[in-house]
Amino acid sequence: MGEKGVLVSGEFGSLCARQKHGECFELGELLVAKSEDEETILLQVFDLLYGSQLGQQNLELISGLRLEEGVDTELIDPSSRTYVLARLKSLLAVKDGRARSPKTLPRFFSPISQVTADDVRFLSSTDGNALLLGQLRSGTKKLDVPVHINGSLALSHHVLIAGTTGRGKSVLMSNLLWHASSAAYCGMLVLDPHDEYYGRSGFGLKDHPHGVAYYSSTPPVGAHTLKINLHAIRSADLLAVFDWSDAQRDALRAYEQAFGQQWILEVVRETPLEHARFNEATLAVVKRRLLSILSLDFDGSSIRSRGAFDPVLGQNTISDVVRQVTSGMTVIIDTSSFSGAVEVLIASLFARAILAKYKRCSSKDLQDHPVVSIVLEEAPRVLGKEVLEKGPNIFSTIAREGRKFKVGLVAITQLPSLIPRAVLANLNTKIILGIELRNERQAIIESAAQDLSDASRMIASLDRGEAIVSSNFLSFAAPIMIPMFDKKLLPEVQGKRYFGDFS
Amino acid sequence: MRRANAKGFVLSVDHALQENVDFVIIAGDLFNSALPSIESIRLAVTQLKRLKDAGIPVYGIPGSHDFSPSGKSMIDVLESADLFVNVAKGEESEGKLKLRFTKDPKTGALITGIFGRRGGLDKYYYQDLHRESLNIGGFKIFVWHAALHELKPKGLEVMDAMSVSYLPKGFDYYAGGHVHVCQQASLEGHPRIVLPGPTFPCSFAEIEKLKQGSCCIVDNGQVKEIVLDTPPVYSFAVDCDQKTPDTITEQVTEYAKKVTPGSIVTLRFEGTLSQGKPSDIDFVGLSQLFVDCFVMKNTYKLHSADFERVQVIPQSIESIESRLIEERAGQFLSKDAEVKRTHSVLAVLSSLKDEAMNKSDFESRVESELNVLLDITE
Repeated sequence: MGEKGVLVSGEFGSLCARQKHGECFELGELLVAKSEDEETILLQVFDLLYGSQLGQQNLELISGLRLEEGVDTELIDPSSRTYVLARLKSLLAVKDGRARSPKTLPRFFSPISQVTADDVRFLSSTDGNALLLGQLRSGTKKLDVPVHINGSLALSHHVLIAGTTGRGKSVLMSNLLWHASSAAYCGMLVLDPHDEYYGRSGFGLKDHPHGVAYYSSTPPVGAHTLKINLHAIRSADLLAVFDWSDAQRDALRAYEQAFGQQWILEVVRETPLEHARFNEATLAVVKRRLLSILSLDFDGSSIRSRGAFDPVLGQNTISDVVRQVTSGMTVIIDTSSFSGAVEVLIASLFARAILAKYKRCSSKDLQDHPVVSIVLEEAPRVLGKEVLEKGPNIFSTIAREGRKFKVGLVAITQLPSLIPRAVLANLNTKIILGIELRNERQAIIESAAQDLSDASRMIASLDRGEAIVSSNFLSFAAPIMIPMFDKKLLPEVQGKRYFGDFS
Repeated sequence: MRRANAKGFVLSVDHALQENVDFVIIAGDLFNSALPSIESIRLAVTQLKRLKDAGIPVYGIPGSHDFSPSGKSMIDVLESADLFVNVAKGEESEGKLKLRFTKDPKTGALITGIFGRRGGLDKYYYQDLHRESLNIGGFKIFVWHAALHELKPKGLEVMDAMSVSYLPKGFDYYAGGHVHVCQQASLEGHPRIVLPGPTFPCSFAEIEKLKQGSCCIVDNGQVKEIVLDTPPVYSFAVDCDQKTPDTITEQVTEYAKKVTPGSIVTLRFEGTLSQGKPSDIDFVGLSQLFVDCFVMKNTYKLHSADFERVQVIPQSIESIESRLIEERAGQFLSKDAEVKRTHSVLAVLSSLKDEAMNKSDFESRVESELNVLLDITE
């Protein structure tokens, strides 16, 4: 590769390079230089500025002559006297294909050039646990270097995907799910409030050759009807998601204690409790709220379902989903037709069952099971400061201790600052897309695995489909380009069904 | 047991005749195999002939047990003898399966369906179903033979199932088989999904749970469950924990006093003995306490305190195969996907050549089905 510039000054965290005439540095661009002992130092541009051999007063005079007098002043040897300078930081030192943190400065006046695939070969992996994140990006240029991460580790140690609307969060997630669906090391549970991943009307995960399980209240052909039996709901699930008065909370708990799995049915039927007495008005409100939250009708004798919760059907839905994800499948739950709170209730039921199953496993059994990752859109709804101030929930429990049990979260949000810092710090892989709001960028930067203190401008300038991945499981904060999510991912299958048995 | 099973079938035909039904639907597994025993054939022919003589047509489909991809099935023989109408009929149209309706001459009801196949292979027919061609007027009945996810009861979690959405919408009645439970449900676009249950339960667990056989009679849209008057069933869970073989014998002797002769009895022994080993219990002697009864025992959870249990579970070839697949799955795909796919591949590989089909066509059919299952690209 030809020279793009030369290092001229600076300090360890902020090197200064002069751009060669005819070349063009970009924010986020990856460049390489050599150290004294012939290590390749990977550098990244984090700021650009003008440089000139002329003093500021002379520069201002020249521009004044042009503006006010129309005099087009021509400099002698302009390419040597005015130029662009770049601020760079050292990302890595690479020698013999092995990367480590840099400890030395590159040589003074070291030429710098565009990074090549050979320089960063270590980012690509054919390991069975590799999860493809995208293609390495240098500035705006996509390099032919796939960036993989150890999916098993990254997913169990939680992932945050942050970015403003329209920057490619859904495309990124679709790609991650597509590749994870081919892998045996992980199962994915996706709570999909926008019903965007399955691909009802276009290309989507339904087209994956290994198949995905899809649960919806309005299932297309081949999908499951989302029906959850009332027996699966515990009073704690409802207490965690909805606001109840103290008396109502006591009533819910008392009914569960008295009637076990049948407790909701008995509240609705107004069965009196033997060992506790509650105000009639309290019980009436509890009954009315349960019918409303769970979309049930009661005609005085039988209970009918109008939604996802059912007194008869769906007895195995939770165990089916748990079995599917813990055997490495991708399961998508379409929650687009539910209110936010009901969606959280549904998500809690599945999450609790998954964590409980893995908690029951011995450490040896756990080794044989895949990681389960739960994808949460608009994550502050369950991981936000306001929510967690009321008390912990199953998702904050998973964020805190899930990795021990191979259960992780993929939290997607536009507003990472709403998530408490302690929780953000537990999300060990952060995929950062373009974010305009400064305080949102700051929240991410302060909790990133790598030092991104000077990356604020780079994050703000990320265009659609561009991202930066900061992770404990990557050797540096890697800029990536998110691939398109379309039919090119599909293999061409040869074969045909035989219908002769119907003749 | 065989007598009880036969009695259940005879009783269901008796009910059909007494109620003077317009027609009978059998949603698969009339027989236990495509080529059943002479005794089973005789029973079936006799009962179907009773219905035919009464002018009651019998419609149905082959189930996972009596379907044969080779075409050598007793169902076909019954159809040739005009005793049974297989309504799973259709042809390929634009790469899809276009089903034909069979019209009941008396009522005008339009009946069609899809037969059951082992390994969940019938699911592919639903995936490729030409659904638009089924959108016609009239009273329509769809007959299927598979477990449905949404309706699966507790205890059958691991049973291979498809979702209700696979069934074509817009039918007035969905007559189902395969899962031995008596159940009704309505889901959007699918009113009256009905599983009538078996005419007699056919395993220890089923007998314990269901006790008796059942069928359904549909009258003016009302589905009436008929409990068949099969021999009474008594089920006893014998708590053996910290007990001696002698105490257990005393316990079972007490149970035997409650049982009427001619019954079916299930004895489930569970727990860890305080002394001795399970073989010290005189199971033959215990069975003889139940006069003129058919006694079944289950000692799977009966352990000895003195010896480490050696687990030898008598299993069918299919269940051993399933266990081995389950143990080794998850190396290439997700475990669930690999288990399903392996079962499907085995089902394709175990299919037999239809006599009317030449070898090369058969090979190309198998190859083609495998290509689809294994995502084999050119």
